[in-house]
Amino acid sequence: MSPTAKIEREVVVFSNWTIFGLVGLGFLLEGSTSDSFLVGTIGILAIIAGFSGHLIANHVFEQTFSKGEIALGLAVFALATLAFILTWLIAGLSQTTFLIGVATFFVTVVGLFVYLITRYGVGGAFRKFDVTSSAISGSRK
Amino acid sequence: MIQTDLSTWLFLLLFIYAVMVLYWARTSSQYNHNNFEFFLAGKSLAPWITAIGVSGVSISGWIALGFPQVIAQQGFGFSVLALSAIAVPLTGVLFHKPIWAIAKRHGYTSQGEMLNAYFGGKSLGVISAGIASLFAVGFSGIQLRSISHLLAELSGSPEAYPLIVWGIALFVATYLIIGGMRAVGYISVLQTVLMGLAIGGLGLFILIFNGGFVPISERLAQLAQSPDLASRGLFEVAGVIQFSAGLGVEAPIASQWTAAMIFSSVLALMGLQTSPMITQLVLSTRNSKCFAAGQTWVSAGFFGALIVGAIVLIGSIGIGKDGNTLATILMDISGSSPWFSAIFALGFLAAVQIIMGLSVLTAAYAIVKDVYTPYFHKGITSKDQLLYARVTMGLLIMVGALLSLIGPFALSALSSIALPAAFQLWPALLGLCWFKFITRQAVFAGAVVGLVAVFVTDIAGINVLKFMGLQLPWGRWPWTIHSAGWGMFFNLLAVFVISAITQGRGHANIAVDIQAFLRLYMTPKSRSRALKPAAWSAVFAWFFLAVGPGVVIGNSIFGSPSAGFDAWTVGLPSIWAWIILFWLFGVFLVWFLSYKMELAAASSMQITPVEPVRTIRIRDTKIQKEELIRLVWTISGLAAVITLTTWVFG
Repeated sequence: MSPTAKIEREVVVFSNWTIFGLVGLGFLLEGSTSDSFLVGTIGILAIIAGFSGHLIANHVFEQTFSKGEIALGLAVFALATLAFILTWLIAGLSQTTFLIGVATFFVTVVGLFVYLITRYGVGGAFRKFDVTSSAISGSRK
Repeated sequence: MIQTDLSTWLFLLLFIYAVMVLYWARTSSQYNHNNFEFFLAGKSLAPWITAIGVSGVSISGWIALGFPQVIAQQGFGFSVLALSAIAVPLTGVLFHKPIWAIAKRHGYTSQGEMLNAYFGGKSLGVISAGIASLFAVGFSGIQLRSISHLLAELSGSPEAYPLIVWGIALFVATYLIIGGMRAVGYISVLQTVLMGLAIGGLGLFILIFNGGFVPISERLAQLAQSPDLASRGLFEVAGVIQFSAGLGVEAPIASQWTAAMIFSSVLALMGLQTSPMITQLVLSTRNSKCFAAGQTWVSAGFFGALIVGAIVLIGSIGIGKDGNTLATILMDISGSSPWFSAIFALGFLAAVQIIMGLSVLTAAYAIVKDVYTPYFHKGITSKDQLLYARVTMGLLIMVGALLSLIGPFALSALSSIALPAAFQLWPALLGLCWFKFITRQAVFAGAVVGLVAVFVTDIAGINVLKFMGLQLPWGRWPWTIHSAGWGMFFNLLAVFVISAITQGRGHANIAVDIQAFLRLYMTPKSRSRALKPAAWSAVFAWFFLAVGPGVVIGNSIFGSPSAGFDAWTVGLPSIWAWIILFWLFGVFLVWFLSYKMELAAASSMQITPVEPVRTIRIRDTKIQKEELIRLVWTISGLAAVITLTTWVFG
């Protein structure tokens, strides 16, 4: 893959998340403040669309997630989870906000597993996380 | 409380945006190893990046920020200019493919260089550089001023306006000087999608906030019946033409937006895609595969829908209200959804930066390559060219920012002539790409005559001459014809007459090769050739009905404006429905010309680059004595002009 193609894929990925990320964030907050699960759902759908757009970009440019993207994705997920839990514990959340948050995390995690299973198969996806087994088989060799 | 919330979101989003842009500037800089890569991205930009970038620059803050406010003040007559969403891409369809192909074959790196090479001489390069500078200072500066006012108002600190102006200027200068054209290309994608999100999102919010389209339309119908607003002709085009002396001397009756004014203003907007800056982006593209798709689906289709739908809607909300429409709407939204308000404000900021970045880069390169090098420093090294261009970028941005702060009238005058001036390059480009009978003498004389006509029929020239004691008998835009129209009339007159006189001695030697190459490259299949008369008839019909004299039919064909909501057969003002209808026809027209007539579709013909003509290398790279004297005189002259202009406009 040429450096130009790599950089062009990054442009697509950035632009994709700029649209869907901002729309998703906006509607999640909107759903929370207006106490409307339906509005929050639009935010969740935007995040699903952003993830799908990212996969399409990967497919078109024949690449997969870079290490930086995985790190950034996990960091954002961890921070969002932490912020959600802390707000829940300290300030309390309305039932709708709580539902929107839980649904967002649920969809994100399920989306990740669906991606891994479709990309690597059930066994392959499991082996991606099976660090111990890989280490043992490595030492046997 | 509201303002604090909005400010926080604005600050947060601006920070993330700045990080992303600077990341791209740094990434781009790693691929820039020489001038060619810095100013033209090594001619390696992906065609889809150019397609999106060209669309973004064509709209920019000019349409995104300016149109809603003018529609709110001057009504639906002005909103017909939304059909520039079709006319502007049509320009790209006509010129981008042949220009790109010529530059690919002969290795040209700027519009000025290409015109100089084809017609001979150095003067067209200077004109092109001058027009590029008008865009970099005037056109960008006025947008910088608008967005800075908007952000200052939204942040609740109007006193922060100068700080915002300098902040934006410094930010654009930073990413330009670091990343060059590659950064401009990559970042323009991000900026264009942000702009699209802002325009589309704001339109959607307005619909939601007002309970759908029907209540908005009902309010418009009530306004149309109010005697005060009806007398201002806010809901219709003010006839075909009015022979008034022009703004400032004799104002037109009811509204200045006659069919003649609309047509000539659309001509001015068509100058955008033939401007040096968009040409520079086209030349930086690695192949011509996305020109057709970009013009048809991105510019005319997607962004066209946003302009005729969302932009006109945003403007219509402000009719009959005072104040800045956009700021008022964003403040209203920020009451309940400050994050969305901040996202939209960011989108409008991005819209301004798209054009600032590209215009400043192009102007700096044109000034150094097409003016400074040939006239003042022939032996300059490429390293020095890059350095001087970077300094010029900083200076241009600084002048634009300074004018935004201390010279709004001068800035307004400069910006008003940028588009009509760029349109005066049409005959030169027509000569280069399509009509070989147009000669150098004709093009140069036409451009000069055209620019003078633009100058004296627009606010800049009228004020300068008035200051010098020459009171012209006409005002701005006499006979309700935009300065672009007056300029092109005299330009074409000169071009036809002088071309007829100078046939056979008006091109450089290379012109024959370019003409032969284009004949092969641009010739469509035989099936398409048969469609030629139909295609051009459709173009003329579209121009006549959509933005020409026929547009007055749209005033009442879908119901008289003052007859009330029930009489509006499609539930919206008749002229707006007319605009939407002709936008749809227009998209079909752009598609037809791009694909079926193959004017913008990629050609299967391979382009073999021509060996560059070997020139004797100048060994002495220092500036020569004669060159230095010439440079000092030129700088003194420019300083005198700038001082005079500042004096004139106060």
